[in-house]
Amino acid sequence: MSNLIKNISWFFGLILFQILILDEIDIGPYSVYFSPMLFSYLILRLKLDISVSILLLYAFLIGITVDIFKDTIGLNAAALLFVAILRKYFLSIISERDEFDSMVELDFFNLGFVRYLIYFGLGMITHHFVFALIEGFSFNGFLFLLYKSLINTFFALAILFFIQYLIIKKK
Amino acid sequence: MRNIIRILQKYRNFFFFLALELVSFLFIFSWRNSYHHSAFISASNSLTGFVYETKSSVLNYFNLKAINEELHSENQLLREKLHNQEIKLGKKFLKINDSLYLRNYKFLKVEVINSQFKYVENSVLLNKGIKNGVNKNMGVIGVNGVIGIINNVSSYYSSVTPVINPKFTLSVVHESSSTWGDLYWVSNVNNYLTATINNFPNYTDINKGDYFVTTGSDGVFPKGIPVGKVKSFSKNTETQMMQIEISLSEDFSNIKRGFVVFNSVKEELFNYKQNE
Repeated sequence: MSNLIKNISWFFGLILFQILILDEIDIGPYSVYFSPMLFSYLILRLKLDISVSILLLYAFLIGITVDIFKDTIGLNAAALLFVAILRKYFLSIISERDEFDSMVELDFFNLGFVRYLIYFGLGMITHHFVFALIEGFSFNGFLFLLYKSLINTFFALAILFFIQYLIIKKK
Repeated sequence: MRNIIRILQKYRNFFFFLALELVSFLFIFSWRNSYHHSAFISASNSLTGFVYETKSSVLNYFNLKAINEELHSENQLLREKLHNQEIKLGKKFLKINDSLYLRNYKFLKVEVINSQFKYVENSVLLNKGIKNGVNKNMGVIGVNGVIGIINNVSSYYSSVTPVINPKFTLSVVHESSSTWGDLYWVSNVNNYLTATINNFPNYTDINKGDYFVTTGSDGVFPKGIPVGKVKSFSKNTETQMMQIEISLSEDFSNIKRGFVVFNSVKEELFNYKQNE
């Protein structure tokens, strides 16, 4: 039960943080390079025992919620579904067979620095890049989109690290 | 048959993924291709409107000084206009130098409660809706220039397609030469401070810093509302058209106040254009 409450508070907390604080930060004409989207963390952090279909539904729910706030209906949902379906392949990259306890939540402190970087990096770059592709809806300026999503992924990972450090720091 | 069921069972997650993906793409396309979508699923619904309104009421405290200065300079401008319009004829009569079309427009003051500027599909949210008489396809101007066109309204909120959105197009006119061009916002060329003007003839005499203003031909905006200043331009000798980059008058990272434009003769204009 406490797990459910934890998930719900992460859901509202992270989405509100994204919409009310992160999207407000203005760094002048280069703001496109500082538009990190953190909410794919909500999918990536879940425990291993969750089934893929529930994960997909959850991703769709998060995506639509953010879309309603940003008035970009369907965009975030489409991008997050890719993260959800590809999650198990990212996991298989960082884990040797049965290395993780399936009840462990995936965060910086449980994964360690390198695996955090690989797993969350792959997840975040998928989200940002698919989002940029669907948003622009052409392969025009492909390199620009790639740069943009790479830089935003970097910022997203850094901000996520600080959030995790503040909230779920190990004693 | 059994094989088909077995395949369906084996790849059920993938099919579920495809189905959800299909739903979201349906959303995206229905959103892009028409202005007739349901209001409850957009940012102008009452819940999201409430969240953004709370946010802006907190943030407004930090911007009071800037807002004051903006209002002050706008007051000055209006005062200058007012004094230039009144010409005294005799002892009793005032002649007001105002053409008829200007009276067709009424303005409703609104507060901008959310403004996106980092993404491609940017949007702006206002705190007035149907209950205040706001409708779809009305123009919105800010203190400094054009903001956008309303695309969705709920009872108390409305969302705007701003200039910095690829869906926004407008014909604009070069102020000193009265030459027309088309305003676009190209996502991987422009940022939120700039926009592009195409289909502008090569032979026009144009300088940096010249103003582009609205034409007033569509009935959405009054004539002469500033859109932006010329930043740079390149001439294309093949098509004999110029491409101009303008810096927008309105800073979309920091808009707080605006006006919705009501045009009382818009329908008449529309009918006239159709009969033509």
